Amino acid sequence: MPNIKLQSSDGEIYNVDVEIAKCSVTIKTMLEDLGMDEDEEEVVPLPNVNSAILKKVIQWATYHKDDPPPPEDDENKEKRTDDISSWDADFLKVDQGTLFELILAANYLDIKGLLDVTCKTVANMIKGKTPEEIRKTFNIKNDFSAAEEEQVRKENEWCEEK
Amino acid sequence: MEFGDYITNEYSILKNIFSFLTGKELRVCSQVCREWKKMADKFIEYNVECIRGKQEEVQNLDKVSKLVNPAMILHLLTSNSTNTKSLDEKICKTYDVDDVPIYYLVSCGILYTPCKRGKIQSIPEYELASDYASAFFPRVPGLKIKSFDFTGKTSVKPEMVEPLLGAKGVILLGDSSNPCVNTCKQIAKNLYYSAPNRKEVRAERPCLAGGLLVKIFRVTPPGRRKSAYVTAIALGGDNVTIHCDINRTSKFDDFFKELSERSGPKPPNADRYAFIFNCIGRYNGDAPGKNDEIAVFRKYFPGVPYFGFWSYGEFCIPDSHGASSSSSAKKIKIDRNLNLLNSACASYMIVTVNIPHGRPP
Repeated sequence: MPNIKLQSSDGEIYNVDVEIAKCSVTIKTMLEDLGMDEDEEEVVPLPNVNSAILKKVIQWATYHKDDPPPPEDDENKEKRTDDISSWDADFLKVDQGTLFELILAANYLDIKGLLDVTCKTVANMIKGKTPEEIRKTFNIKNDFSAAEEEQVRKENEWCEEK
Repeated sequence: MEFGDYITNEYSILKNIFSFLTGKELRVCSQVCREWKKMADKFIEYNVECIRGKQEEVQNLDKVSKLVNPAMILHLLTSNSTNTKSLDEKICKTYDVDDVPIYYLVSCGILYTPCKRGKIQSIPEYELASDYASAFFPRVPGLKIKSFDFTGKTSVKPEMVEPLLGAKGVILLGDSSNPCVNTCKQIAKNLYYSAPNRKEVRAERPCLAGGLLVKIFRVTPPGRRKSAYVTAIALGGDNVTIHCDINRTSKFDDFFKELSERSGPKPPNADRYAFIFNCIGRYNGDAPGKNDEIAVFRKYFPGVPYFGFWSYGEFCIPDSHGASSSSSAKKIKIDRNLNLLNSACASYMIVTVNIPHGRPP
């Protein structure tokens, strides 16, 4: 199978099976639209992805290379977050910084499967937490004014009892 | 940049993350910070828009009547006001009543019935009614919502019907699909057994705690192999069977006529009624249009508030926006890939209402 060279932002070059690389819509489009010849020793620069993350992305894509393509229209699909495979769960046992970079990379490279599973992981981190716990978890600044906060709290008061 | 800043500032990513959250979780998220609130509100508003369309239909239907109609009140509740006092005033003025009649709302339960070759599969983790309820009836302090979450295997527990026990009357209508009927029966049974005084329950006219009167109707159309019967709990009297195919417009009148005749009058001095409606008016072949059945219901039960879902009115599994709508119910119904049985879901809504004094009975 033909390979393609991917270059990370810090200059590392990875030799990747073209079919695996094409799980990234960004790379796929690049190859198709720009007519990059697969036989040539051309290097695709990925200025937004560093080597550590690119390595992880390639690892993910390699494992999932035989997955069926994600459905285009998922309007009727149940949005579950408990269907993360154990391999993916292990793969995503990383610190927040890495998870953050992976989402960034998946978004930039347009890899739907990876973007979904990373976002699901974040959604799972949100589930079951109070607003304050969520802020703490993600280090988010509470930018509501005291009056606003009171208003927001009031609006949501009733749904807290179950 | 901090992780939190990143997911907050990247619109598409926050949107993607939120799409995996339920209505209730979105409400928690709306309290985190301004950006999260903006995004969560977008999801929540989308859901509310879906229901608002229906509420407006209801309002038009009911223009002829000044009776207190929970559906109309819900329309007002969901329309725009966050100020309870002004909302109360608006309701009182609009409907010419002295105080706000909503007492308790028990939310819709949603049954999602996937199947393979006719065999029902349950999805135990599926998050149900409470999320929808929180999306549909937003921002009204004091409104109480309780959830019924039904799956094929869930039984209705006595505590689930506890809010109904003080009610003076219950009407429950189910359609012919089995899960609906079973659930209706379970609700009926639990109402029955939850009564503090069983002797009273066994009286000629079943009377439950707080004067709740219950009876069950079964409708089995003659000449049909599969019984497409309707279960109804009405205001009083014994269980009866009415042979009537409620799926036919022409028979609908017959059904309600007989129901009203045999259910007897409303309990005297009743000031509070409860209603359970499920899948009512689902458009199915030559089923009655929504206006038809409401009109017929009003004809035979004047003064009895109603609430229901009609014509594709079931809430359904959420689409990618976290919303559910009648259109997705329609789509799912015909989606063979999903292997769905008969109906995509069954929705229940139980509404109890205080009838203010001085209003028509």
